[in-house]
Amino acid sequence: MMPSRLTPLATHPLLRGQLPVLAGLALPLLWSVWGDGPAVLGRVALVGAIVLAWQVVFTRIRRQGFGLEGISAAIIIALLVPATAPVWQLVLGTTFGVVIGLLVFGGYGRNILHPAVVTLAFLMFSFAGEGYREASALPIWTLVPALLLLTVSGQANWRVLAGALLGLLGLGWLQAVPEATDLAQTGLFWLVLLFLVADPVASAATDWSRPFHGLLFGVLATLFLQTGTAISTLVFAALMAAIFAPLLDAMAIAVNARIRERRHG
Amino acid sequence: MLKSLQVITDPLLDKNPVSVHILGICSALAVTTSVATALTLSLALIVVLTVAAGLISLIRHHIPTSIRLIVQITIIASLVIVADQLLQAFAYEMSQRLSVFVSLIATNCIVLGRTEAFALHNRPMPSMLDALGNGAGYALVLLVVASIRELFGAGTLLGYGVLPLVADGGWYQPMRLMLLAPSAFIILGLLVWAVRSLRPVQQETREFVPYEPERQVQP
Repeated sequence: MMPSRLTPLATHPLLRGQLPVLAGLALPLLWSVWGDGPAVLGRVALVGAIVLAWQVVFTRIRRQGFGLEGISAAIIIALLVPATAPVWQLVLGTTFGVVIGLLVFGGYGRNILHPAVVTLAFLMFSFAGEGYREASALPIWTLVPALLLLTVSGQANWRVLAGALLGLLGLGWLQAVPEATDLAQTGLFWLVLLFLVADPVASAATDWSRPFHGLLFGVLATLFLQTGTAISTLVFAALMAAIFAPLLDAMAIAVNARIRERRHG
Repeated sequence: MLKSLQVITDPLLDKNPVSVHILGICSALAVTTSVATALTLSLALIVVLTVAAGLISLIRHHIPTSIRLIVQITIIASLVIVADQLLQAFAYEMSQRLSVFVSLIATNCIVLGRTEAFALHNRPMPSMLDALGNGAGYALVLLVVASIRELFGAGTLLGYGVLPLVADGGWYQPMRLMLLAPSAFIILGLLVWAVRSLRPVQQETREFVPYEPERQVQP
């Protein structure tokens, strides 16, 4: 049982369900600090400061809600960019990602893409020669707590995860792509899948469209994997799948309405 | 005089065909990778639109209503072919860079929109002024988007180096995204946002009101 004093803290409106996300990101972040040195903490501070600054601006001017979801996006961005990334590119990329990907839509809950995905895709597209398509490896066991925390708390729906694994391994098996199986065993894949693809806002929103959203991500990842690096594959597959998530939702709702119409007249 | 001046200046900002009516987006995305192509296409569109509006206005009493669209498109398409051939004859390099988009002026919604909505009901001189104004409004948006894209995507403006590139020993790392089509969408969107923030009259009414639960008031 949680002590009663902690209960209001865990459900505080500022957190907006971000507690399991932040807790799940703790172990990958610790591993990164231990392996690559404390420079990653500097990047977290920089990206986090930019995200918070933009959130404050939009909260003040447009009276949008304010939460800690920007911090988790900042940690993910800091984990996935290379250590050699110039500061001004991080500032520009994060600004673009958080403003265009999140805040212009009205803030967290109304965005269609995860801001970290937008930031990473922007950096990869804009600065091709800067090594954004390479990411340091992350052992798979660092994501085990995140898997448990996110699925139990309902942040990452198991249907999306199952669909993604089926798409990745299924098409990998059909097309004989051994890299697909290898990818499923990396921490990077699980980081992107759990935090970016299965994000409750950016992913599909009905039980029937969720497996298809995951399936689309997995299939696209297998297809892109044959031409690109692991991180670019995952980010672009997540971007495309999230763009099509509202369409999958609309289709699921239309099918459901048709079935109910036929059943009840 | 003042009124005819207003016919030209209104479409620049308050009734801009691109940023207010969101017309002509296809070519606005395609040709704005550099200022030179945007400028050429804008000029071609202004000439075609102005001449087409004048011609259609001249014969407006003789066009049967049932086939007016066909007649208008025929006139517009003939003018577009002339413009395309002239461009190929005197600026072959530029016509290659613009590829199909000069011929696609015929399908540009601004052209048919102005002839159908204005030139069919007005005398030739006001029609041509209106066409000139709308062409200028289109050109203005195209040039703004193209300047931003060329400056940040290649570090140049009209081909002259403005920002020293890293490749030439300078400090600016060009953003490749700016040369891809999505950036034009984003820049155009931000432009529309900026204009509508400055001119709230242009804001559209909301299609639906987002759900907002009533605040719990503590007694």
